[in-house]
Amino acid sequence: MIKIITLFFIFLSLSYGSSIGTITSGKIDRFEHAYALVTRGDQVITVEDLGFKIKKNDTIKTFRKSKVKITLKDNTIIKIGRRSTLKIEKYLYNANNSEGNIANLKVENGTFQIKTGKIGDSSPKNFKIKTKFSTIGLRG
Amino acid sequence: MRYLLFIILFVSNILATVISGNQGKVCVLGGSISVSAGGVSQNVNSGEITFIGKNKTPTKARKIRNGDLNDIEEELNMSSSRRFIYLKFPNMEYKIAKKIRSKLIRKGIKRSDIKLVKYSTKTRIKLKKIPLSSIRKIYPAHYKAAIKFYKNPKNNKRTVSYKLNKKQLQIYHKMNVY
Repeated sequence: MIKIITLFFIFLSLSYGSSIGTITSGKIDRFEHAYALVTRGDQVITVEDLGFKIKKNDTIKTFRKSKVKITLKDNTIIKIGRRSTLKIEKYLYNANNSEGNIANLKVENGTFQIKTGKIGDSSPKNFKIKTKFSTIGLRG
Repeated sequence: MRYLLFIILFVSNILATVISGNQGKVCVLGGSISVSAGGVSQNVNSGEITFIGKNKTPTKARKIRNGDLNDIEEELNMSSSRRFIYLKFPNMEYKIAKKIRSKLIRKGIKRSDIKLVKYSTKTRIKLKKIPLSSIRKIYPAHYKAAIKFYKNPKNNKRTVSYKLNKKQLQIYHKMNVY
């Protein structure tokens, strides 16, 4: 019984450990047909409600009626508008060791607003945002 | 200890860089960034904006003006549902229509949203489905009326449409359109 409980908690921590952020708010409502799609490897997942966990290398796509706000582990807040695509190319955050922290985001389409969190504060050179025609870096 | 934590949180919030933009422009609302395109880097500080495009280098950063962020704010407003407006103008001379069009562009309305339709000797301006927030300072009375229209839940799926008259144009644009 104890083994089962221990295994359960390990499994929980692993599954939560691999997520790097959450869709915390936005215009996502299945009754209004406001969906977002998350591409994860070969999988395409429909996001119908808030609280969806985001993982590394996910691509989040919004459509005509949907908009999302994502909060990452280091408190970076990303808002994307309608008909937008956000790809999390690289993300590594370790609260104890800021040297290896890195965040590379790509906004392939649409509108965005990004408020940097701890990675932007401690390692601004490792925080990059790419759009279709430009690359944005922080000046520390 | 509690005060120290509060100070750290407060300072880290100030340190945060806030960047808004789309595929054509990038603006900084807090902090400082560097925008690179076409082999050229442009520094953009807080309160500034730069424009980017396909095969183009970023423009020199300038201060954010009224209207620069209307489309971005409208897109990122998480609580807004469709809030658009159609505006029609009375018939007028083509030269006056052009002047009003350039005034509207200066105030933040996109050129592609302004249509000039010629009817024999006169021209009519049509603003097709523009974000409601963009007319807040240009036509405040119509903005307030549209907000009231959209407060009614029955109008959620409709788009409000108004026709301005010549007197209103004289007041708002200080131009004689007769």
